[in-house]
Amino acid sequence: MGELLLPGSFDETLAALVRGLSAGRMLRVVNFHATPSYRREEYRKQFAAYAGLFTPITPDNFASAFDGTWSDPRPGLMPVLFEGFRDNVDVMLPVLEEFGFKGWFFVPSAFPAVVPAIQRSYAKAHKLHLPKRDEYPDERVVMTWDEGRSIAARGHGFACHSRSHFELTPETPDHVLWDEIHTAANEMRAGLGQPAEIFCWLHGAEAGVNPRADAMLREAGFRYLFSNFKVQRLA
Amino acid sequence: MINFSLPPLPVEEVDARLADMDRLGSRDYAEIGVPMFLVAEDLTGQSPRPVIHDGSGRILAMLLAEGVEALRLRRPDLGADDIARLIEALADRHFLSLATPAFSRAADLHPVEAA
Repeated sequence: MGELLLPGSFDETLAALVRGLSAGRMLRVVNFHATPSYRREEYRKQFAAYAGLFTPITPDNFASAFDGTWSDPRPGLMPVLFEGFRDNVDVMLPVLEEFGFKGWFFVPSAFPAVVPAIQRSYAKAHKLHLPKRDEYPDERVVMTWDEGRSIAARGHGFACHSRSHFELTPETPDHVLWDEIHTAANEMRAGLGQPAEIFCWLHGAEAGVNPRADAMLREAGFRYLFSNFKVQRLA
Repeated sequence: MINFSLPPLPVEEVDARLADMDRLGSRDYAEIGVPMFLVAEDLTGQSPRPVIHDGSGRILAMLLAEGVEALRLRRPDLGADDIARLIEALADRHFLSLATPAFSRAADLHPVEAA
């Protein structure tokens, strides 16, 4: 885990979480990063188990999963795939589709455009952790925007994971925020052919950690912020 | 109104939960699926819709609060990482079990009624 920042005191955060949970306002997510093929059977077994208990959260029903108007007797499940790695497309996507789930791809918007020859060094420099065993020697390790558009057209979800896999702090200057939020929003829109409504910082800072960032996220059209403990509706 | 409180967690159970948190935290997060519960919070100022739910959220809320109190006895200076580890441990233990339907609503256990 990284360095988690809270907007208030520990007790304030805990009280908000206890209130939210006790009111039944929660989403169930499963967080993934790299999904190498040598773990394919592990992923298949897990989603076979999930399929018997959960209903997929999709871009079409996300709002009802969020606001408590979810009507399916089974709870919703949101598989979140961080970083936009190629193996999310090659390995996990077929598993999700086999069991009827929709993936939610949280992509740092600059990553797909990095040329393949330097994707590994970009990943290393930006805390994007590739699997222990390189399954694509001399090839790209990031999904392409062509793949992204195809995946989105099949009903899967996308979120903007900042531009450069950036960790927000209270002191982050405005010009950096602009790049990590507005430029990222533009790159997601250009890459996918549709806007991303969900945003998430590296290490999951929540609203209130940097109020200038919160205002800019709203200005850029983001409606939801995913953080370590919460999904927050911004607009 | 009934006024009650639960007895504190036995020392052995606190130890076991801490050991479980350490075990979970030592995994290779880069390649595995990690279930988590996220609280939905509306910051738009709209009145939240009432949620009809099965009580699983209240169970989690109670377990989280109880876990924090137990952990605080060992280490008073808890931080955000501790909340993350506690919720991760709760999800590891209860993600599947709290999604299991009520016995009487599990259609495959009651084929005659379902027919």
